[in-house]
Amino acid sequence: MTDALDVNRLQVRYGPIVAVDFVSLRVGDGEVVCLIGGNGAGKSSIVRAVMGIQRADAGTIRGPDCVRLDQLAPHDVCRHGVALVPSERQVFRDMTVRENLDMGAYARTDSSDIETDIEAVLVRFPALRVRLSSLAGNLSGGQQQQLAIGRALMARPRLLLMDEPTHGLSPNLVDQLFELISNLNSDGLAILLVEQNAKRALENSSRGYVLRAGTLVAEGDSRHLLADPMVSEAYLGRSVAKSKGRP
Amino acid sequence: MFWEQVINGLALGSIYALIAVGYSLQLSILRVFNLAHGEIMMLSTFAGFVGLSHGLGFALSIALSVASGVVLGLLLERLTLRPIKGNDDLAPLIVTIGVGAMLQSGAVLIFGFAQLAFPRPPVSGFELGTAYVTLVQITILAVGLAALIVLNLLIHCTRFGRAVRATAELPGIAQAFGVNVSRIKLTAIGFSSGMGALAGVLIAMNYGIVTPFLGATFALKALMVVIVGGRGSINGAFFGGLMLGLLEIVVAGEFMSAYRDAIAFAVLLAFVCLRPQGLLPRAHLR
Repeated sequence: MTDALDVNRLQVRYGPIVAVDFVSLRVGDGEVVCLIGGNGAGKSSIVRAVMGIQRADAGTIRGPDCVRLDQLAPHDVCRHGVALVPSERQVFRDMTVRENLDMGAYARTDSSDIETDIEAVLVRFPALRVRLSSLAGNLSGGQQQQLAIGRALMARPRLLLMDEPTHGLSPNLVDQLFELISNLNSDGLAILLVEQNAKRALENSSRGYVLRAGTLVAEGDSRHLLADPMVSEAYLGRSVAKSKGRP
Repeated sequence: MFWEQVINGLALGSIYALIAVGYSLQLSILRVFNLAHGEIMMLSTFAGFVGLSHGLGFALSIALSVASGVVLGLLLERLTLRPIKGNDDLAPLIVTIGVGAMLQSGAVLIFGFAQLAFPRPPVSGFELGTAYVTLVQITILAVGLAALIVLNLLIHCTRFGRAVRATAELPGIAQAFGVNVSRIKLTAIGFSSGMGALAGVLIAMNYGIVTPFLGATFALKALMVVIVGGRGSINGAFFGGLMLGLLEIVVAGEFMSAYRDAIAFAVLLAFVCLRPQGLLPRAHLR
């Protein structure tokens, strides 16, 4: 089985500050893997490095089909099967729902199938159908989250990078989100779930990585990690003050 | 007489509009108040002047002017704005002030302080009812209208326009979905600088003069138009520009021409105080 993502000994620095210190992780094809840790643990820096927003100072990042993502221009990463559901949703608020979905397909060249995929997104998220020509900024938080996911799906990714998708959602919506993640995964999508909500993330993934102050402190089967006392300490957020990562 | 003044006002307003829209595009896409915009316009106007005085025709000289504007805009981004990217917000502003001062001093060194006579097209104009309209004025109005229509269609009805709006709102996310953000920025500054150059060369033909202080005079008012029109709003910048042109010519010109600039600035100032969000406020590019 090839990997959807293979990060090998990644280091990310901001000037003298080391945000990610030789982290290795992988997401198998069609696997849900979570990356957990508190604020400033370096989770976002890893996401930024994978998407090419932040340059890797050392190490390699391979995407689907073993493409070296770290050697691509940032706007080319999505052309190799990686799509981002950004933190705090970040939909294009001044654009309509339809335009947001079109932006998701921006890099695609098979324009004929785009309508089919929009229809598929609307079947998955019926609430968006009636709002197609509304500005995304006028949607509710939950709908914006759906739009952010729908937008990413429009890129036809093999790996979905979800950066803190539960942030700011009501418990009810969090339940729906994890149901959706499991559905997307059954459709064959590999997902890297980057979360502060460690308990829920571990309950809904097959494997997990625990990040603290830029280094991996634990990794393995999600069920084992859930039972690990050190992990519960990490996700309860103690020791955050010692973190040397960027907020 | 009155209608002639209205046409004068609309023509001047279109000039302000062309410059102001350039600021607006740069502000929303490059996130910089480019205070060298007026000086790029001035220097490009001189490029057209040099072309005309070396026997290039009017069309070619205008093209030369626009081309210099585009090149100067691209150079400004590549050589100054891009290298300082990521520093604080004030750095690009200060850099563009510096570049503007250099361009102005350079123009003074080459062309001197004095006003130079800018050649006017041979076909002068025609009677339109009671008003006399020049060919240059017709051109200015047509260019202004064309720019308004083309920009609106481009930004709202094309895939490229979507990418531009996405970049203006969330550049990082636009990039994650495949938008080449640095190319969009270059396109925006090239296009807006070319548009400024076109405005400059048309003003020079309209008034028959050119000076190294052309940019300072027109661009400062256009800058206020951007604030009046609503930051980042293209249509706001357009209508703000037209309003200022009409106001200057019709109101100030009729009653007290000596205070024309003072009245224009007073009205702009009052507007900024009373409606700081602008005519057509938008958070992002619309």
